[in-house]
Amino acid sequence: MTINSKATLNAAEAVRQELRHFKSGARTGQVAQTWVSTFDVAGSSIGTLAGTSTTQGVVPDDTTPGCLTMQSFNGNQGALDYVLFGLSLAGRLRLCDLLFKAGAYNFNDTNVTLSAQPQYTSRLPNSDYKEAQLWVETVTAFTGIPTFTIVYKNENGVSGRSTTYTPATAPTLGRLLYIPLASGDQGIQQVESVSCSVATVGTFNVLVLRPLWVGRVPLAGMTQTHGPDKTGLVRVYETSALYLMSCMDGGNTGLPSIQFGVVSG
Amino acid sequence: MADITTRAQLYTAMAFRQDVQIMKFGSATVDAGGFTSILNITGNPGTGTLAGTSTTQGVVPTDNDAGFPPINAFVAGNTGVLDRVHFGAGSQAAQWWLYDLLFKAGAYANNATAVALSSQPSYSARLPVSGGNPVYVGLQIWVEIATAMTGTPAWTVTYTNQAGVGGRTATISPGVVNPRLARMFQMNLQAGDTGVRSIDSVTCTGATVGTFNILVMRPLWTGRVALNNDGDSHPPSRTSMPQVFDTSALYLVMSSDSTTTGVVPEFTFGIVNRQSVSSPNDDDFIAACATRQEISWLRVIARTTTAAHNFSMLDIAGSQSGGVLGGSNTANGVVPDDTTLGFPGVNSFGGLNGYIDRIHFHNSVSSRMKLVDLLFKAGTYNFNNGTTTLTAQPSYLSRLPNGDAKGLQILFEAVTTWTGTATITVTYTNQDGVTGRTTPAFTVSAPIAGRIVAMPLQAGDSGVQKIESIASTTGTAGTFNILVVRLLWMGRCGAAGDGDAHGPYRSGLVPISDTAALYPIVLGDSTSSGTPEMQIGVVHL
Repeated sequence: MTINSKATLNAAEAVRQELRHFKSGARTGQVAQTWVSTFDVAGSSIGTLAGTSTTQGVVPDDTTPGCLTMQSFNGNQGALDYVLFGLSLAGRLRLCDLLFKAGAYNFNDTNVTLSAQPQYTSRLPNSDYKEAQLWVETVTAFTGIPTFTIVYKNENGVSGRSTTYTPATAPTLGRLLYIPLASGDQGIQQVESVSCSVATVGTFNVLVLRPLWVGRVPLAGMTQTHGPDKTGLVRVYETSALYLMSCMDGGNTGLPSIQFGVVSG
Repeated sequence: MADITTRAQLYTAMAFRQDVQIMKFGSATVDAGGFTSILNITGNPGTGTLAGTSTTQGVVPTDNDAGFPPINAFVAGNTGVLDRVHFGAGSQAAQWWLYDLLFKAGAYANNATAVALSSQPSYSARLPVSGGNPVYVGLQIWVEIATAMTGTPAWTVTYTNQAGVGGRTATISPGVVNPRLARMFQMNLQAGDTGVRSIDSVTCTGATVGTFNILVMRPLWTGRVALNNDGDSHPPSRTSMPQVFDTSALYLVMSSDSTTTGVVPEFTFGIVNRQSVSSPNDDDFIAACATRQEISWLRVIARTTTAAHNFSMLDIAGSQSGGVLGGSNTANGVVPDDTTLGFPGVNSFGGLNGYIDRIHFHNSVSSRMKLVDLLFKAGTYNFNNGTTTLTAQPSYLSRLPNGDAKGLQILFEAVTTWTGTATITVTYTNQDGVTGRTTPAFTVSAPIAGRIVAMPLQAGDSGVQKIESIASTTGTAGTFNILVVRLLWMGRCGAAGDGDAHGPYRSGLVPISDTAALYPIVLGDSTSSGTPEMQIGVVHL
């Protein structure tokens, strides 16, 4: 069965997977209006923030601790059908597919070159690397404001592309930083090397993420539901490493809870 | 006559939607809480004329009249509806109403006494039909001040009611002293009446100066701009899909919370009509989700802005880095596309048609956000450039649905911060291919880098096919570009961190080209753009 009509979507919804993610602890001391990982926060599916490989990186999947295990799609395509989400405080939630993770790197690591990096091509619709974004995830809080330099292969397979990014403030634990790519680049195929300078304390991971969905909770304690019209039936894979981040109106992540339906057909 | 009666038909119609725009760039003093026409304010479409042209017959205005946005012909014999409205305003909280202006008689003298009308043209063809008969119920009679009046006027109109009964009397004595130009008053129908078939005679008392018109209007939509820079997007569930016609004279009335119309109210009215084909329909759009392209656009630092004004984020760090604000060609201009630095790449549609079917958007500050297709860019010009006549301009018409240049906007974009006031004149070819059209007087006081200001069109125009010349004569420092854009979408972030997800009904399944230069514009409520984010879903089928 292929999902190509209301009828087939309804049929797929009848056997939809329901996945649930909630956090019973909050991450405090954050900067308002900045993205923060919930990966290691207490609750369901607790993961470990620190990466396990600095020289190759890994491609997390649905079996990675902190991600949600999905059932097989039996060779069919999968899609995000709905999201029911709430937060104990006002803020935003974003769901991504965590395609690649390398780390944890130190504040003073210089030109750590990666090799034999595992590929994540099969987790991108149409193998389109333009949907892959480069992020830094703070594993332990920084002292001083770091400058990150990441060399990568761009969406067209051109290697040796380099980007340097310095945030405005010292990143706190769990802080996520979107890293702008070099001029003209729109996506990333592979991370090639990682450097960090200036700061005196702190560790971090380099992530490649594919954004799937974002939602807003305008009032503390409010919940909302986004149906297929708002999720857009965005494509997910049975091995997708579903990764939740938050961006709060204040400095406390609050307690996010999210339930989403994945259909396949 | 075929109506849209199923969701599948609505989706098909949405794929062929016409987005009709009304923007106003000037402002006027008004009475707080009073109804006001904005027909005579400069903008796009160009200025309309308040004064009516017939007191003894009246006329049935249409979309072809100056000041009204033109509407493309519907599929023969089929009906159309208003299915989506994007709206917002740079300043001034107000309530807005959209009407179909069915009939206009005037301008009458302040002492008009039982001026009789005869052989009035019928507007029955512009009414929904029930049981084979046009529905006159719900039509309203209005007074529109054509030139400011002195005194405390009161009006009496005799009319034929919804059932065809003549000799009925409508009155209004608003008690407003010296009503201003463009002020409007809705008249009270006689007890028991609910509509009007014709205006039969007109009387005014209590005034010594000024003129007025009598209007018959059919209400279509209303929306509220609750505060400066507010706006919203109304899907079919909020427009209620009122029937419109391909000759409708879409007429905006406002009631300001204060004593000004405010500046830059802008409306995009989505008009769809039943198609003679059955695809693409809702099933086709569901199927297309499997191959959707998700385009992420975001900025990681903010730009300093001027409150409630349009600003470019092209040269700000974030996704699709490398964008350059300054234009690269002053003699010909260029047609930017998805390969231009700073613009997101759009995957090929493989010869199929592409649509935006969903937008996730948020910002770290309260703001409005827009998405346009940047069709043409000429610059960088100096403040003292004088007049530059462009030659061999590349055409952007292939990027437009059906090559239709109606609704396109001319924008001024400050590349560097100005000292002094910019005075810009643009000569252009209008939507119908008429050359030598000129923008009305346009000035911007000391715009800062990145600021974008929409320019009004000449009276009677509603779009632009080509930029012909650009003149700048004032200021003491500063540079700028001239842009032509097609508005695709608008959204509002009502608070810091706010945003929304607009699905097919609110994004409107707006068609785009796979070479579109997708260009987000941000209007912060205060002096920062914030760090905006958009995720744009593009399907092709």
